[in-house]
Amino acid sequence: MPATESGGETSRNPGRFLLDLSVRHSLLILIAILFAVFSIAEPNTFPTVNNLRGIALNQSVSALLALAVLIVVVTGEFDLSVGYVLGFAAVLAADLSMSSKVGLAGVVALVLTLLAGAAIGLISGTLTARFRINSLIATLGVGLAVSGLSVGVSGGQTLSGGMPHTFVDLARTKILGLESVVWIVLAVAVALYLVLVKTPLGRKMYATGGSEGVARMVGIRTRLLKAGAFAAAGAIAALAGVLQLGLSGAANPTYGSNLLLTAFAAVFLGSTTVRPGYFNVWGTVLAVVLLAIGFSGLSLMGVAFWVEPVFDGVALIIGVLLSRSETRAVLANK
Amino acid sequence: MAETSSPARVGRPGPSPQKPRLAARAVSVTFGGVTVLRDAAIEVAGGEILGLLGANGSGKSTLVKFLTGVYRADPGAALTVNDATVAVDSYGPSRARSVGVRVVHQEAPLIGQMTVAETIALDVGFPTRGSLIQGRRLRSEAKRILAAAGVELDPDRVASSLSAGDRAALSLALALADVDPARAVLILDEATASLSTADAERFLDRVRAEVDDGLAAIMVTHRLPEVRRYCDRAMVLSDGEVAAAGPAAEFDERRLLRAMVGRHPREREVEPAAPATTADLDRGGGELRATGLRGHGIHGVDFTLARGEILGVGGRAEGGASELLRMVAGIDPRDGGEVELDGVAVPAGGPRPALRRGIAYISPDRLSEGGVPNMTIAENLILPQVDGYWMKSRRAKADVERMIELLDVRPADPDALFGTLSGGNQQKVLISRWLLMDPRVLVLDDPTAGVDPNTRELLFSLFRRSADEGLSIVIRSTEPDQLARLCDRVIVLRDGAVVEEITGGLEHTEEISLATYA
Repeated sequence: MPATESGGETSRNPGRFLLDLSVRHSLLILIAILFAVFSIAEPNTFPTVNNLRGIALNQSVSALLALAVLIVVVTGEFDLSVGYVLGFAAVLAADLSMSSKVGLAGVVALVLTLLAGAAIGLISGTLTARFRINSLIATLGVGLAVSGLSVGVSGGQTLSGGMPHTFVDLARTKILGLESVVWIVLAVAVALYLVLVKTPLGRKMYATGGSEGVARMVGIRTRLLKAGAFAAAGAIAALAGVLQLGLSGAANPTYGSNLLLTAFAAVFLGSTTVRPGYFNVWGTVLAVVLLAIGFSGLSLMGVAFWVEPVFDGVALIIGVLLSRSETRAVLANK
Repeated sequence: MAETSSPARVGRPGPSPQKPRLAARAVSVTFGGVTVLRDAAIEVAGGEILGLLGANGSGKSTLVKFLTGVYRADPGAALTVNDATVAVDSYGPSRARSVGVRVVHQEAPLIGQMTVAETIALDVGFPTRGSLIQGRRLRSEAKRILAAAGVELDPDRVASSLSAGDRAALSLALALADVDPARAVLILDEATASLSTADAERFLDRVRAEVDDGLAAIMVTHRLPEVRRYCDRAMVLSDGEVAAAGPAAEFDERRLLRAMVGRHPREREVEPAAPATTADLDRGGGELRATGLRGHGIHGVDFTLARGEILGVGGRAEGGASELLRMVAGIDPRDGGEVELDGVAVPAGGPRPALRRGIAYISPDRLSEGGVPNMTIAENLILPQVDGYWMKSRRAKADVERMIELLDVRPADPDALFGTLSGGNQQKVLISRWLLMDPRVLVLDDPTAGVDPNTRELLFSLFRRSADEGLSIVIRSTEPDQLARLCDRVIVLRDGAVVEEITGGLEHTEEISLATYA
């Protein structure tokens, strides 16, 4: 087979090699460019410790939600309910711990909320894996139901005050100059990276997402795996909700659903880099950072708030277009 | 060098008996600096079928894709169709169609819930009045096109209900729709690879009839008997170059294999696998025993498989052989019956219980039930034992390299993506995956479909060697001669029941064929 001749490797030109390298690190390069541009344009406000810490703080919940989306997407399914689970978890944790309501200890409320998130994920997972409902439909249904529950638990109001300090401590304790929420997100990302890339479990998840039929044929328990992925995503989304509660000190039942599309955008944008063609942890995290820096810089330059989702959407489409091999080929030949 | 009996030179198939309908010269195709087709030439005249042979990855598909306008050739290529020069740099699929080049692929791309008539209309256009589809004319047009190709099919049947033979016939009718046989060139791109021998014959008989009416045809196939029976001339590609050409009748298995591999010492020439010997098999205490299997069109099948035995399962495509294999390997549930290994029942219920007991299954569907396309060769190889290989990356690497070497997987790169491999190499990866697991029983459903003869011989001798070392093998094939050659014993299924049990050995080919197609 001629394609295997040793000439294949050596005839690769250095330009193509650089191009491959730049695709692998495209988001990192873009982040650096944006950072430089905004630092020059807004030298007094953009490259400051305060602004960067603000970006990290604001984006930690989005990043966590994107990681929840990622777990399920790796196995070849979609979970649209994670945004609603986030909102529900914030409300539930508040409701369980407020002295005027159930009044449980903060840690107990936290554990119960994470379990509730996992249970909701498990329902979506069972509907998808066991009853073979298309995951988009199953999680749309579950998400809608959960959004209703959020309103039911909260009475349709933003809950605040009378909560134990647990949630604020969880999110805002300073460690090495950064709020704990940032460290929690990094810890989840590292753990998820290790599981996905370094363990047999991760290999099985990617195999299931790559071809469920094949995975089943080699003896992988694909249904269990998918149900597990949904449950993990539910728990992580619930953690994001609790952290949001700790950051803002209040639980808004409608918060979270508006983060959903951006989280999906980050996961897909992330799949164009680091390990192009595969959904991956660091690509996802870099995508969240890119979108955050882009928006932060733009808003410091005075653009209106509605530009954020426009920026996110356009960035996703351009990113995916640029990562296509045809596009790369065209660029390489020019 | 070139394997030609006539004075024809390298890169030139023997001269056509008449003026060529289609002639291409100096066709080279390069992808990213790698030349996959080098200075190939091909000619075909009206009234003849040219057989195009070669190993997986030899450049056959590339040449076909050039002729059908899918791939661009490098500058310098020349193409004439019906004596008119065709501009190669603007030659695309629709241009190919308009100059009269039609193609039938291995798998007809049909939309399951559409009827035959609608499928045809998708290609030739829906008859409409105003902007509404006229149902009656839709059917009559379909009937006309089917009849023109000599295909008998009910235009109201739903595509998903068609058998493999029907689908191939429909593809042929679509390819021949509204062409003038005196100006067209039909290309069969492994169109018979997934057909049983009987369906393939019916299909090729129709093609032959069209060719006798003046059509020109190029036929890509791995089946040498088809070439000898239906083709006028044949040419063999090897490593992107024309390695041999001449009258089809002059090609026998040996000469073909030599032409396919002869140019490159790197390519291992494989001795044709030794024929089965039945003498020294221990028949006492069958290792695998199936009793009263039923379900999925199987109505009570019993068989035993001794340790180290190769059992062939023959029969027509719809006879139940595939279903039986799936049931034995636990893939599909069974309505009744038992499968025992060493006297211990193997529970039904997914592949896991069977795999645990050492029963491995290879599906004919390599992409959706074989390997994960976007994972590498190495990842696919160790996938069933990924838990066992955890933290043992050095052992995994060594095992992967050993299997790649043993089965001569090309490219020999553990990091190549499974989806980018040719069909034969995908099959090698799948077989090595299970051999690596050291199974007790290997269940193979049509493992040589779409696999070139050289690879087939490599696989067969590997099966034979593994069986001699104690592996028991159940293998289904649509080709009776292959079963006869490889197997110790062959059972033939019809309508979900065993109708014949035949001892293996080449001399029994006839018997197996008769039992299959009686």
